[in-house]
Amino acid sequence: MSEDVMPKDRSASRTTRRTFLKSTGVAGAIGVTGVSGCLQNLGGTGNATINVLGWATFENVWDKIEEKVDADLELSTVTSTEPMFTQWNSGQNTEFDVTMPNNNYMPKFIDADLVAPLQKDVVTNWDNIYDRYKELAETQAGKDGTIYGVPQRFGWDTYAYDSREVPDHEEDLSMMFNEEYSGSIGSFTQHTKAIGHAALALGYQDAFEGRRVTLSDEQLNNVKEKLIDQSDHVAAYYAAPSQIKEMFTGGDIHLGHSYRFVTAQLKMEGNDWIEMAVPKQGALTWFEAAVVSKESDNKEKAWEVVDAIIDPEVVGEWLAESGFASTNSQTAASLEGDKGQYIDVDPSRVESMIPYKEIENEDAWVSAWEEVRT
Amino acid sequence: MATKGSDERVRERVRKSLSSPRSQISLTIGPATAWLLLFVLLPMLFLVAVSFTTTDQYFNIIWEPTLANYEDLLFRNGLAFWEAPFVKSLYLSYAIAGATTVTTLIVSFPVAYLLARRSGPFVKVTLFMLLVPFFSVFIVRMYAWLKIFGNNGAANNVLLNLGIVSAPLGVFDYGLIPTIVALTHAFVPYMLLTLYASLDGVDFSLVEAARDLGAGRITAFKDVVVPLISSGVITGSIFVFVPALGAYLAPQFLARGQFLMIGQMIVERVYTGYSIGYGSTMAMFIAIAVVITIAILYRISGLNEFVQQ
Repeated sequence: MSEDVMPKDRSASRTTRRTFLKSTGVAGAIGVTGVSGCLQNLGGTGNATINVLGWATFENVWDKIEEKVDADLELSTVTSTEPMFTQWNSGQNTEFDVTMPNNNYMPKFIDADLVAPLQKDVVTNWDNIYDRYKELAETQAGKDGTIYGVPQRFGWDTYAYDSREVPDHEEDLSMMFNEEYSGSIGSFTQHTKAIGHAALALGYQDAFEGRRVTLSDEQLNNVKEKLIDQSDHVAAYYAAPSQIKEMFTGGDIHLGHSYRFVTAQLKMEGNDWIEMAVPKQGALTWFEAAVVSKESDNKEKAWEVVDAIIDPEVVGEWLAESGFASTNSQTAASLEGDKGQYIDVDPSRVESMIPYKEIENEDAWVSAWEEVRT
Repeated sequence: MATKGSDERVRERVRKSLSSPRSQISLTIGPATAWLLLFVLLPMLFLVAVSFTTTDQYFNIIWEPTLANYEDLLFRNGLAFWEAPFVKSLYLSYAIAGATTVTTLIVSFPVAYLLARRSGPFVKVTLFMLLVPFFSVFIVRMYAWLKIFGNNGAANNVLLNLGIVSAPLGVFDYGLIPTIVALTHAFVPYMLLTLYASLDGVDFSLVEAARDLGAGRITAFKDVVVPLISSGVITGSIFVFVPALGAYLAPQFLARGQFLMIGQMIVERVYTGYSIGYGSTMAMFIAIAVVITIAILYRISGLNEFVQQ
């Protein structure tokens, strides 16, 4: 049956309904299109969306941060600083609002003009940051008097030892070269860490002053020779925290480089025998600096996210459980009982820490390290 | 009817166009050629181009041709060629890949020979049983070896608990041997299946004929079987040697950083310093080294003549 012979009123009725549905659809589409510009930075809840390129470990505390800032947070995770820089530097700084590189990468972010100046009025927790890390923020996360990054988590690296096998001793980085422990010494595999610690052991503290670490050719050669001698006694070179734990608990090493948070985690897991040395030469420290993209459309909200990242109420318990230290001096006090024992860092200890920095002649360091390893 | 006629014409046109030699070549080797161009040749050309560049402090490639990477790789800091870390690592990688190839051959040959001489369900079941472990993820197998080796690994613990040894055996400690064992285990299927396919085509009555004519077991094997399966041995060896040369996970897990194979060296360079140009130069050397090795193997085995025939 064709439409021509259909009753007129019925046909009209159908036409009207179709027209209505079509009109509604078109109006809806126009409406959505029209307001989409306004909504582009709003998530499904109507809150601003802040895109963060951050560390995978932050997944554990992300809901709390989201709740605190009242925004929709989209977390993309990475496991090292390099992709944070390379992704932002290749144009993705327009897609992300916040990232959290290690301190030694901060000068690159600043020099590449990727980050926005700190809004201290938004980051209310700034005042509680340890003075030492405020200073480091000025020198490493800042330039020409402007600060761009907020130190959030920190840790330090030095050597740890199994106190059942290594008796009490004067804690000195030269222990890493003690032939008495040949075959049970572990070393970092990263050139920055291995060469950095060896340089400190050899007394080249001066090299760590200034904006970059600068070892002269002669100093670097001496470090290389020292590390080549050491390589005969090293049982393992490692980088992953899990490897360090496995090597210590398995008894494969009795003395070796370690991250402070790994040692703290080992202690929390009941391994009372592990000790983190406090060497007289000092310890190399790292911190993560939370930064906001210069291209962010929601800078204020993004700085609120950064503020939440260093807020004891938000991240305190999580940091305490993970063994990382907080740059916020109030974090330990905010925790009940002895929960804060691994976060509570002696301020004098913090003062003596030597920060990792960009390396002046990094290719030479990498080359020297390859010679050691081959 | 008119529609039917036009369908016929279309069909005829398609048939004609498909029957031309050019179309046939396009349809048969076209997709493979396009694949190779896009995913092998172009990346290789990019690799070559990047190997002649360096990167700036922001990790951007500086597109100015330079030999700096090559010079640094081969003649670093006045070191003799053979003392350059890269060259030492290349030797080591060759040695490990060579040892892996030999061990996979030794492990695989008796099994492949046995399977080729048998038939029926035994072959199918045995092959399946041999291949079952390889259905698991590679990294999981590496973790398994990690737990087996080491001073306090399962191997040493079993020996200690049985009272066979009084102290952990150094042979089970992480380093060269665990790496070769893990690589052998990883690549056995490539060698086994290639050898089995090769041996399966051998007419073993020729061996019996040689024995009847007075040849000893070894002579019959050497003069009859080996020439017939040499192409299989060479192919299997290439399948094992090439991936073993660029191995990363096995040495990373089981050498505990005590040595650096080429694959690890590339990763460290690119990962820690983002030296893409340097990494590309090293990768170039691996590609060249592999091509030379295959050419030599083909030359030795006379396989090039076989291919030409």
